[in-house]
Amino acid sequence: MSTWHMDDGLAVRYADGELNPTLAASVEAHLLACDQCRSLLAPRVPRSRLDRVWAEVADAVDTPAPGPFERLLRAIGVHDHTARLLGATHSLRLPWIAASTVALLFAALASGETTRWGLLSYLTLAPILPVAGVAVAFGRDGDPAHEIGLAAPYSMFRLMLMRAAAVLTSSSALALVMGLGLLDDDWTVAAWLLPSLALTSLTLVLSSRFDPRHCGAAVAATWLVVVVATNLREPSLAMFGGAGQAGYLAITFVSVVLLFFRRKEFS
Amino acid sequence: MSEHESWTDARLLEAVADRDRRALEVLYARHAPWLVIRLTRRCADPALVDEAVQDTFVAVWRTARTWRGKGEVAAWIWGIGIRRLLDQLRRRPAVPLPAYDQVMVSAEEQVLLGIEYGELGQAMGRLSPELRAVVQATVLDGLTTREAGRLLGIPAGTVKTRMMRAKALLREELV
Repeated sequence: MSTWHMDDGLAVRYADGELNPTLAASVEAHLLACDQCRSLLAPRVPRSRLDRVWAEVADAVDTPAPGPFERLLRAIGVHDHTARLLGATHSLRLPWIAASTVALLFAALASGETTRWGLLSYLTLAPILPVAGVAVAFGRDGDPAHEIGLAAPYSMFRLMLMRAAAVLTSSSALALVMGLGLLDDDWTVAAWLLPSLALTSLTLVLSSRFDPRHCGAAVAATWLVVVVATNLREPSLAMFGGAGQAGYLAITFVSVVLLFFRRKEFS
Repeated sequence: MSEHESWTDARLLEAVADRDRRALEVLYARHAPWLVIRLTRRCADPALVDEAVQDTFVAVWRTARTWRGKGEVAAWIWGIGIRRLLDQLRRRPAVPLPAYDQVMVSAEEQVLLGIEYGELGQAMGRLSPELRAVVQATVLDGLTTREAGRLLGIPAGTVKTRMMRAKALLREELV
């Protein structure tokens, strides 16, 4: 440790920028190694300025770091508070998306088999994923921001729609990518889209009265039962034919209308 | 007052790595003032300096783990601080450029002051402000050629040639 130290006069002149560059350079080199001389400079910066900067630092340090999904949302221009609300959704978190991907992947691989069971399982599974995602996205247990949401001056209905849309988009994108990547039949790649819309909107409507988890489970179970019932003898894609698709469209439409009229139930 | 006040910088930084917020506060109280003053000598805009200091301590909080435990904590903080200032300057290029020249006194004063101090001081004092700014940015502030260029608002190639010229002049003076 050197024996050279700043005195008060030198500290003041340095802080005021009055030292010539060479001497200032010596001071700066010395400062890096000498806490005694550093402390001489502390009174040269207004307390209020230091406090203000500290408040900002404390703010940034206390704010939880946004997850990858939240950062992605912000990157594509979603407002910060919306991104935070969406990012808090379980079914938009990485573990959930990873689990969905694996489930879909197996189903899609199975559809490579010569029988049509594989394709059928893919088409059955794809619409259930958003239903399950939406079901766990709401309610007291599913939503980590539930109580904050209740207290926030933010329409619960809007929040619910936003989350449902986000869940639907992410799981649909997943199913579409899988379908395009692993299946070659052209129309079947998208045959699950209307069913998934129908089931999801149905779940949302029911959620206005019952627990979202129960609704999700009930809708998914009904869907499975119907699919199994129509395929008891041999695998058929009857559920995904033209008439079926028209039916899903109708269910979606009716559900959305009902949802609109029942929107007050969500707040 | 807590026991933190008596800890060394290195110990505080280890505590910060373990998410000790109070340790960060003490570290801030010790290091923010000189950092503010030293950065002010590189950039005359106090708002930018404040932003840079803020970013620096947020970065200290996030990257305390990466400190290898060698050398001065202050030097490590300075390395972060000057680069955060560069980020600020890059983000707002409209702001009048860095104040290396702000601290430069007139040429005559330079010569007069130069005589007072030792051989190197004299030699440094005889360098033109442009050459000295480059020496300061690269040697003293520890910036790379490219970073120094950004800070001074000149191309990296120019930093290199000025540095070579400054070295040659200093060698002539000192040998």
